[in-house]
Amino acid sequence: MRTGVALLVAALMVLPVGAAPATRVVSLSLCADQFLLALDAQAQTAGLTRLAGDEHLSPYADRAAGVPIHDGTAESVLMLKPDLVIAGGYARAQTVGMLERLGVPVLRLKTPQTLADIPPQIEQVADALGRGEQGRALAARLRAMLTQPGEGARPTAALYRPGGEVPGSRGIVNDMMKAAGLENIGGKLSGRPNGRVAVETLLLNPPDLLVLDSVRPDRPGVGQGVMDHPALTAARTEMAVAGFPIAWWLCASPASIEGVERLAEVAGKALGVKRGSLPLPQAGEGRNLGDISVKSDDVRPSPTGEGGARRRLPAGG
Amino acid sequence: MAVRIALLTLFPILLVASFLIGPAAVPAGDLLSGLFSGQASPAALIALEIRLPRALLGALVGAGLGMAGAALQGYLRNPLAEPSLIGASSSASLGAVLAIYFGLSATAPLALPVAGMLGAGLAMLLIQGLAGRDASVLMLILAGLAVQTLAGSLTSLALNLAPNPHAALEIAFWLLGSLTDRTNDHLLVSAPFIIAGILVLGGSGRALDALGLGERTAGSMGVDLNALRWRIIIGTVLSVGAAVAVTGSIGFVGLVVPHLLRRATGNQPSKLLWPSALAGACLLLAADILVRLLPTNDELKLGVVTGLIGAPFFFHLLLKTRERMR
Repeated sequence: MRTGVALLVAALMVLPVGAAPATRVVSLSLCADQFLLALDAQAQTAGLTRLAGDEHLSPYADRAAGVPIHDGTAESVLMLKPDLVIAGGYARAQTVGMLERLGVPVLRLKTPQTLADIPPQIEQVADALGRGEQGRALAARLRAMLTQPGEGARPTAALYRPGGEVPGSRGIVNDMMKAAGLENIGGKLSGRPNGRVAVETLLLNPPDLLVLDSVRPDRPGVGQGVMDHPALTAARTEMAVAGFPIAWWLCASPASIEGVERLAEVAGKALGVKRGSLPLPQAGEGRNLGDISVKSDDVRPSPTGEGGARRRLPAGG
Repeated sequence: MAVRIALLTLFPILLVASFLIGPAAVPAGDLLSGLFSGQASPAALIALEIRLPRALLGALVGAGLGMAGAALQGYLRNPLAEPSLIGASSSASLGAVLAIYFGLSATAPLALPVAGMLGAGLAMLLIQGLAGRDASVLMLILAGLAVQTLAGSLTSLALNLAPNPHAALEIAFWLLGSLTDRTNDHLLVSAPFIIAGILVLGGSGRALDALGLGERTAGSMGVDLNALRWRIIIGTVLSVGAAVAVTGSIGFVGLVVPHLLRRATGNQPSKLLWPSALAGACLLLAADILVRLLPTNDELKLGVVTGLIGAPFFFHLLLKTRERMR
């Protein structure tokens, strides 16, 4: 066995990254999975993570069918005889270190901080797979989608997650909201870049649109309970509520850019505004976008700037 | 008497303060008018759906824990008897975790307190079997430790098997106890049981007094010891099981409160029970106000505060017990 591993390692060491297109690529994180699937590189993929096929978490779950799955440990990755391992920014540092010590070529993708960081990474992965042209085409298509939305009134929005967690002014969620023409007030609500918000704080400063991405009746828990707090249900007359599948912004990946138009679409439907007011590049391809509650009657006319976010109690309660 | 008057004054003040203080700065007038206006304004929603259940739950849970602590100490004739130290709280948590993470409480809200009470009931029976009624302090603490360890391990096992991948993380915080964002539904499903438990325990004062004179004397005074045992077990199970199921385990209230009061009320359980309930409510309300006032990053958990108050107390009691045992 040990000789086997040694031989395998020796064989792997002969193949430096970039010399020849990798044909047995293993991805170590759900986010790295997305890059391989976005490039339609299933034929060159020797292993994806277990979550790649989970349609709640993986936007390209349908493309992952039939691709081998691994459990993320160094030994099972080695058994897949990879000629390239793609690791995400911070996932599985121990495993990545172990694989590097054993001489497996590893491509580390830094976690993209903004949507604009994503296309260069697509090209990077595509080059390693010998699919440079395809990568540049995909990157160019996504860059084209990243045009800034027009100036003017932006509806305020906040993403609300189990336990009261509200992603704020940092990160891909914020970027995607901005690109979809929404103003994320999550940071204002929690007073931190990312933090928790008490139900009452949310009630006092309701955003125009409350985005829910983690309602999972099949996964009951303490955190899920906060999502259907009776006070929040009652306040749905104040805010529009849109369901958005978490898969599209769980990872900063090619799907994040494609997710922007889906977000704009569900937001537009929930807010009941005219199509022109929100940047809606194209309608989705008829994919199921999750539950959308439309409360158009109760949506006030387009708020101006932060006026909507800073609504105060009516005098005298 | 002075203690009762002090507690009776303090309790309504803390109850109202708990209602008025919260993470969102809402004027007191708006909150109070929101209680009765019947409007759906944010202030009214906050008053009725968030602050009211929180304040009432805090009072009830505190009262239940204080009462259970006083009754257990009287019945076991042991100053260290307390719902969390004998493992009743952690077993109730186990029941609640099972109900929450396997979807029972979502489909049948009553499953939550019932599971908590089943857990607490199992713990009480185990303690009875392990330590017996007249156990030494040491035996009781060890039996409690064993029950706590078992319940803790089973909770971890349940979380590993739960379909929710965030279960372990969520529950690590939940177990610390909190009243944050509890709803009227939580209040409705747990209050009847907690109140019933408090009443059952509150009526045991005379029998506990007699028991303090020794089992034989109590028997000759007409106390049915078997009935008393069941009364204590059922009362503790009702009040602690239902309370823990909605708030997570909040420790040490039942330990601290009777001890603080004993100096003022004397050792007689009958004089200690109801003041303990009242003082427990005050302590928990005060702790819950404190967690909302402290400028911590994320709201401090209630069980952390009661633990910080209670653990030094526990040390103090252990030292005293050690001296007596020498």
